[in-house]
Amino acid sequence: MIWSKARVEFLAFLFLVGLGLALRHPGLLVLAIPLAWHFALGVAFAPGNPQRKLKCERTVQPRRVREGEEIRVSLALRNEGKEAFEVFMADQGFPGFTLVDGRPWETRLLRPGESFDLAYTVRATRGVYRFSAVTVEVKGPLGLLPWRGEIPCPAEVVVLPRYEELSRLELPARRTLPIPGTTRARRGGLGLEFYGIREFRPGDETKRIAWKAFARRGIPVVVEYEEERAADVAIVLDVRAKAYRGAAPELFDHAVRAAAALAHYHLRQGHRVGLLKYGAYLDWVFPGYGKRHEERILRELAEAQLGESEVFEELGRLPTRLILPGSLIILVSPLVLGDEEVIGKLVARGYRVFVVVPDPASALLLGMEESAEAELSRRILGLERWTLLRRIRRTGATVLEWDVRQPLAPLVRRIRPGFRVWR
Amino acid sequence: MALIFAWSAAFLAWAGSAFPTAVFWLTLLLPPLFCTLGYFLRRQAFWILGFVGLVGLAMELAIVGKFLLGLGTLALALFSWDFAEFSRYPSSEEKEIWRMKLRALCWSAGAIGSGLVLAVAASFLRFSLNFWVLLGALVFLWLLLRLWLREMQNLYGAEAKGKRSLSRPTE
Repeated sequence: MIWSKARVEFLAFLFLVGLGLALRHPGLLVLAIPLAWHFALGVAFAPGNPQRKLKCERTVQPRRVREGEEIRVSLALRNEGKEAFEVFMADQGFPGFTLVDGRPWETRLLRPGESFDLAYTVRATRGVYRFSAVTVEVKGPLGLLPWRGEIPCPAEVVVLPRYEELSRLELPARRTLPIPGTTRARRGGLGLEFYGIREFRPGDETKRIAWKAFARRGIPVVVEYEEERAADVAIVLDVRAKAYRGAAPELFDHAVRAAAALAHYHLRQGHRVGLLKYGAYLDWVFPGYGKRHEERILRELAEAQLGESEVFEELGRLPTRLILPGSLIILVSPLVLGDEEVIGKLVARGYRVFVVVPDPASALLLGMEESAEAELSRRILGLERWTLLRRIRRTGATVLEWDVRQPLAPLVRRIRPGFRVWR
Repeated sequence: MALIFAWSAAFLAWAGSAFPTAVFWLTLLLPPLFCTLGYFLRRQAFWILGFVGLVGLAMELAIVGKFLLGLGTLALALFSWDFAEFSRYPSSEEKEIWRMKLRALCWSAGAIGSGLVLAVAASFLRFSLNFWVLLGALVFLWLLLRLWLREMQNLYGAEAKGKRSLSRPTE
């Protein structure tokens, strides 16, 4: 396919010559000469393939942002050839980008050795965006046979989920790790909370002797504090599209933010945190500690997408062998009927299960005005979910039903072990 | 500027026809109107229609014997055609646009001017050729261009040919 300008000129020339010959009219034949000459010059000076002559550099600042923050993308296109090009450059766009300032396209005349910069600012939604190239159109002086193609210009920007800072979540795992942390280990040792007193043994520090109890009992006793240790936390993010039906992607974004907030909180507390994206696929981030691990988890969450898979349609295929018994499993999911059985099995196997249920009805109502109809529909949906949540409550799992219009942190702060459902 | 050239070409064609006032001659307005639509709607198709219409006007002048006016109309049509590109690619800097327009103007003026000189020079040539020789030459020229354009097409990235492996497993 030859581009339209060259084609039109060529066809016009052929038409003039053909008509001139048909009518035996020399004037028409002579009239075709300027057209043919224009076409010939345009083709002769058409740019060759400029891919080796044009170099592009991309700068993305910053490369790691949170949802809603701005990203400045700068492109520098340099002409390393020996001829001038008229260049139209357009950067690839992403559906998650909203242009804030500048524009991602520009036309310039690039002389040899010259370069031109293009900069624009976007606000991005959660995701990992991989820029690969810029689209370039290079025209010759008469605009015939332009070259259209891509100049490689790779870069990557990670837009992490925006999450709340959780101040407290008193939901200990059933089994702890032999590493200091913040989870009460139900055993005497070093800690802050009073655990009990016991007889003095050789080797105990004298400053731990409870003098009043010693005076009462007549034998030396020491104070024991409850040991605080790290625990294993597995965050399971439900990415089954059917669980979010009707409210995706807004509800899913809230679920991702909740998972990020919980991961951040537990890592900050010194726990070993793993992440499992369950649904369309199995994506397991092995448990780990520290800031680098947090970055890994946040990146995985940034890339999380909904999907469907027949294999992982039910929660029953949850790979529990990856999660140590006694760990705290935090399931972030709007849930579907049938999930309650799996949650019950998890509790029976010795896991402490905490289910964060982003309320689909609240996500649906997020963009709607408050009205009687909206309230009624919310209540009907609420009743349906109430049945499901009641069954889960009976299994012994802790359930937090989260109205996504409200912040998560205050709800989480109210959770105490022993309480089952918080709304 | 492209619109000025397009309207000038139509005006020249009208002037060359001795300013006829019959309703039929209103069709003269169609080519520049198409160009105007192409400019404001940013549609290449309208520009093509406008350009073809202007070439048609030049042809009409040449047929009725006003060869030089026909050449003038064609030259203005080509100027308009070259400058139409700028309606597609806006730039944020006015200075850049002027820089490119000046360059295009120089190139267009050079190409069109030299084409006009060639055409006028050719009009002074007096020789006779057998019709079939002319037709044969035309066909030969056309075939030559077809071959050359095919080469260009391959050079500028036509679809790849040959055996290619699928990127996904076949069922």
